[in-house]
Amino acid sequence: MQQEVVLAMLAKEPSQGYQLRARMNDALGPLGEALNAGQIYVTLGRLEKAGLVAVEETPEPTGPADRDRKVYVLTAAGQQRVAEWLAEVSWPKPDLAEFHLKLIAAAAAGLTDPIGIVDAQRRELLRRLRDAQRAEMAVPDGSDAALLLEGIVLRLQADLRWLEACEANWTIRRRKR
Amino acid sequence: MSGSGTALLRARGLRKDYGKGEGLVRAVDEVDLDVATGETLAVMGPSGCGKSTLLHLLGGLDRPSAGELWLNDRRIDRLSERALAGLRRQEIGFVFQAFHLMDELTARENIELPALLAGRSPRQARRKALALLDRVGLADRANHLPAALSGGQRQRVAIARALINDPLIVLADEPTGNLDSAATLEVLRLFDQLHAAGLTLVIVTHDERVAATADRLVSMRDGALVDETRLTGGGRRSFADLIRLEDS
Repeated sequence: MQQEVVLAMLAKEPSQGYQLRARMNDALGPLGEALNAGQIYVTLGRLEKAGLVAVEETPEPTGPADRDRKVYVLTAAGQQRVAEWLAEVSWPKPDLAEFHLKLIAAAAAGLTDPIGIVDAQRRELLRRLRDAQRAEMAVPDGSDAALLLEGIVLRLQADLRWLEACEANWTIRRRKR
Repeated sequence: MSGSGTALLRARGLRKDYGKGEGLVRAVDEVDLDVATGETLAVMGPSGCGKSTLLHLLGGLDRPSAGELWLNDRRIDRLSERALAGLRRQEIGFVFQAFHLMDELTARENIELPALLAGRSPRQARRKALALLDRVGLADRANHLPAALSGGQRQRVAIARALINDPLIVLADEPTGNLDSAATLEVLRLFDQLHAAGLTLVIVTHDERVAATADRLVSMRDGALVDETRLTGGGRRSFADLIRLEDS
């Protein structure tokens, strides 16, 4: 997990690991299941070493596990890092160029029918869309998780439309050859 | 292209031509299709590929130029007009893009109409309509006119109407074509519930979201079925890699 995510989740108030995890799970819904339970503690350990987080120990565990004796607090440097991260403009890049070049290379070398490659890709994306939609139907309307899933669904739809354009284009090229 | 299990609906060499001689257009070209009981099948393709014509043939709204069509082991492509009309009323439910609700009738009355036409008593029709309104989540909208309903609600009323005579199969033509994203989800959720309850459904669509809810997807190009995809099965959460949760 990106360290800044954990750091920013901690900005609300000093928290224990399991509390951060619960906050993440609420926000992610079914995608939160993919989170490894230990992962958050690994990340917190790294943040502590980097001086972005300080640890206060309580004498008795106040959470479900022994390690829940530790309460994590942002340091001044940590607060600074969170402010910078929130101001950063970044966006995940979908790698369409690789797929595009795959089609071009396959057609140029006469190795595989590009349309077959497009079909296989479409099948895969439709399966993902189906799964994402099922998850979207299962979470409450208006929840944080529903909003994330809507974004995933829209993105898959956009990719599927591009694949349609790929298929139309390569069908025309095949006729010309 | 065949489904698993018993085919409830079976088409063999189905063809539909318009025009003659030089101007002949083959809208549906030698289609073989099996729809299994309880299956949701989506037919996808660009506009003009013949998918709506195919749906009209499957539902007996139009007659094929050639080929055979079987519903529940009964050959239906050569039925008389009268018998075909009875079949459409009793055995097949239709859902359309533009809902086709009667503006001057309430939601309940719209749903009752096919039952009354099929000879049910007003009391039976009413009881059934109210049960269906409840099933589609619109029990509190029974006395609303269509104009007072949202697009998603209108389509749910139309789906309830399609179910009133307990059809063997429901055929839907672009059921989300007039709906926004939230209303689309409403309709997909309802289809999902009906699917779980055992409904057999054929949906013609160009909406990827609708296609993705199907068990099986066939693609249509220039009147012919060109590709088949089974969407059920596979790993859970196959979309999870769309968000990065691991430390990079």
